Order: sequence, then structure tokens, then C-alpha cells
Amino acid sequence: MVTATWWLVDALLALLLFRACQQKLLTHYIYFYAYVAGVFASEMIRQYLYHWRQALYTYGWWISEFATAILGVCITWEIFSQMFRPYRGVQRMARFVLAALFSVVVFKAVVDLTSMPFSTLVPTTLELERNLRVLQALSVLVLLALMIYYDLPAGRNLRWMFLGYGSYLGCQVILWSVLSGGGDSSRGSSLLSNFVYAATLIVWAVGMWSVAPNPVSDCALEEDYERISGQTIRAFGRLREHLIQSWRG
Amino acid sequence: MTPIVLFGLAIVAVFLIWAAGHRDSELTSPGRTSSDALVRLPSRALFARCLSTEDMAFIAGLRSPAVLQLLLRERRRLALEWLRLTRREARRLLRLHLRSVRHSADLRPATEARLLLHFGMFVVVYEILVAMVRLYGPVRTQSFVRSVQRLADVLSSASGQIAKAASPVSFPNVESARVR
Repeated sequence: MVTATWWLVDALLALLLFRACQQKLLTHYIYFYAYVAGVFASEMIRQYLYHWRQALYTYGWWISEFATAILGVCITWEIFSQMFRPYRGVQRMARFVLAALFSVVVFKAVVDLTSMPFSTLVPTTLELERNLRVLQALSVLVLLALMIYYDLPAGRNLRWMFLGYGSYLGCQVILWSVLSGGGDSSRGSSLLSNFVYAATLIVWAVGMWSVAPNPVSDCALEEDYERISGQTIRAFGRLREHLIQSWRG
Repeated sequence: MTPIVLFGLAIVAVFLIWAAGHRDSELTSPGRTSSDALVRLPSRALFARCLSTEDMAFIAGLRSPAVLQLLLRERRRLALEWLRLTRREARRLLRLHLRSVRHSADLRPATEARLLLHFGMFVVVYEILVAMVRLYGPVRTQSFVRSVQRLADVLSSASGQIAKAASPVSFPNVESARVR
């Protein structure tokens, strides 16, 4: 069963890459397809090691797992660059929040590495990978929150990319937490993980079937930002005062 | 990752997905006119009428509990509707601001956070008033707000007197010690 889901994942990755070449999506979403190509390559290496170099399989699996976790940043970056390209101010704000998040995770990993003996490096690598996933999940939440708050329009490609990656990260974080809470990385969890990833790839295959770029909103900032902000803050103050004064009678 | 953090993240994610599903994206940024930026305050006179004691006295004179109940229910409904109007105005102002500034290159996180804080403060006051109107009705809420106001005035004047009494002149030793 696990082998069947492997092949399903490989087939879906190949389909994604095939459609990207056919529909010229590669030039539009270069980071996203860099991730897909990276995962596809690592899957091929895993398959090769599993069938022909069993002794090296465990090492290969861990290295490729870590590499794909890092490659996952490409999707966050793709969403970030596509979503905020016409909105430089919001982009700067998102960059600020994401940089703060990233610094916290790296700092925690460095502290963990320095306080542990070298022999426990493997669990730390595991933890770093989990933290990377959590960081990516948080990044996706931050980007989604900014998108909703500033009412930024998103095209079909970006919406499905968001949906697929967000749900995948959510499932992955829950799975990691369940495993670290007492379970071991058994065959069942591997199967579940493969199923989740296959579902994500199906979502992406649907969403990235053809090019649907982000709608571009018109730029109509006629006044100075400081002036608009000042006006809005004063307006809120007046409204709050009005609310309280009306009740005083 | 502790289950509490995980649960918190899940709640945030569900809320964001809900909000994403309910938003109505407009591609055009509003042409911000000076009249749009003005606060459209809901009429205070209308609200004062809603809380007037004359109607209450008149209905009480009829000695009909059913009519009195109806009046109280309607007043509560009107007060809540008036509150909703102010909330709608606050949301309109926030949306107008966000759609006006989303293209701005010099968007400042601190200013945006301050604005969100002001909106949050308004929402807190609004929610407290809504809860009180629902629980006690508009007339008792008004008398509660008035008594809180009176208490705040008393505390304010008392603290002013304390501050005056505790001026540096009253503590020459402390002042001289500070100089040294």
C-alpha cells in the first residue's frame, strides 16, 4: 500500500511538471515549480535507493526529507512575491513579520544545538525540520491574514496554491505533534503522510491546470499616507467618543 | 509543539479561512473623497428619544404590563440597532482606510498597529455596551454608564487633589536628597 502511494505521488508530481511545461506555467511560478522539481528529484533518488541501494536508503531518506522541508520555503516565497508585487508597503510589512518569525526559529535551533551533545544531532535535525514546517505554517497564516486584512485580490492559481500548501502544512504539523507525543514513525504514519501529500498534489494539479494570474487592482492613492492614517485615527476617536457620550445623555 | 499552541493555531487558521470565504474583494481602490473620510455619526437625538423617560411614564400610566413589555423590548431592539450603526460606520472607515493605503509604498507597521489598536478599543467599548443592553436593557445601561462616569469623575478629582497635596513642596527632604 505504501509503495502504491509512493507511485501515486510520483505520478502526480510528474503530471504537475508536465502541465507546467505544456501551459508555460514555469515562467509564471518559477519558485513553486523549483520546489515541485526538487521534490520530484528527491522522490526519484529515494526510489532508486530503495530498490537498488538498500543500505543507503535511511541516510538518503533523511537528507531528502530535510532538503524538501527547506525547499518548501520556495512555495511561501512564491505566494509572497506573487501576492504582494503591486503592494510595496504591504510587502514590506510582510517581510518584517516573516523576518521576525524566521529569526525566532533559527535562534531556538541554535540554542538547542549548542546545549546538546553531538550524539543527539539527529533528534535536533528532526526538531529543526519540524520547526521549519511550523515556521512555514505560521508564514502562510501571516500572508493569509495580510491578504484578508488589506483585501488583496488573488487569482485561481494562487488561491489553490495557498489551499494545498496550507492544508498540507496543517496536517504535517498535527502528524509531527502526534508522533512526538508517543507514537513512532511507523508504517501507518508514513502511509497517512503519503495520502496527505497526494491530496495536496491533487489540489495543486486542479489549481495549476492552466495560467490564471492575479487580478491587478488599480492604484488610486491620491493623498499622503500619513494624512489618511491621521484622519482615520481621529475618526475612530470621534466615533468612540460619540458612542460613550450618547449613553451619558 | 504543545497541544494548546496547536489548538490556538487551528482556531486562527479556521477563522482566517472563514474570513477569506466571506470577503468581497474589490479590485478598484475607492476614489477617496473628502466626504467619504468624514465620520457619519448616527443621530444622537434619535438615540436620546429611544431612552426618553416621557414615553416610559406615559406607558406606566396605562397600567398595562403587556404594553410596557412591548415598549421595553422595542427600545432594546432600537438601542442595539443604533449600536450596530456605529459599528458599521467604524468598519466602513477601516475598510476605506485599508483600500486607500494598500498601494502606498510608505506603509508603516507602527501606524497600522496604532490604527488597529484604536479600532480594537472601539470594538471593546461596543461589545461591552451590546452585552449590557442585551442583559439589562438600554435604560439601566444608561444609568450604569452615568454612575461609572460619576465614579470616574470622583476618582479623577481625588487623584488630582492627591497629586496637588503630594507636590515636591510637601516633601522638602526628598527634594533636597534628590538635589544632593
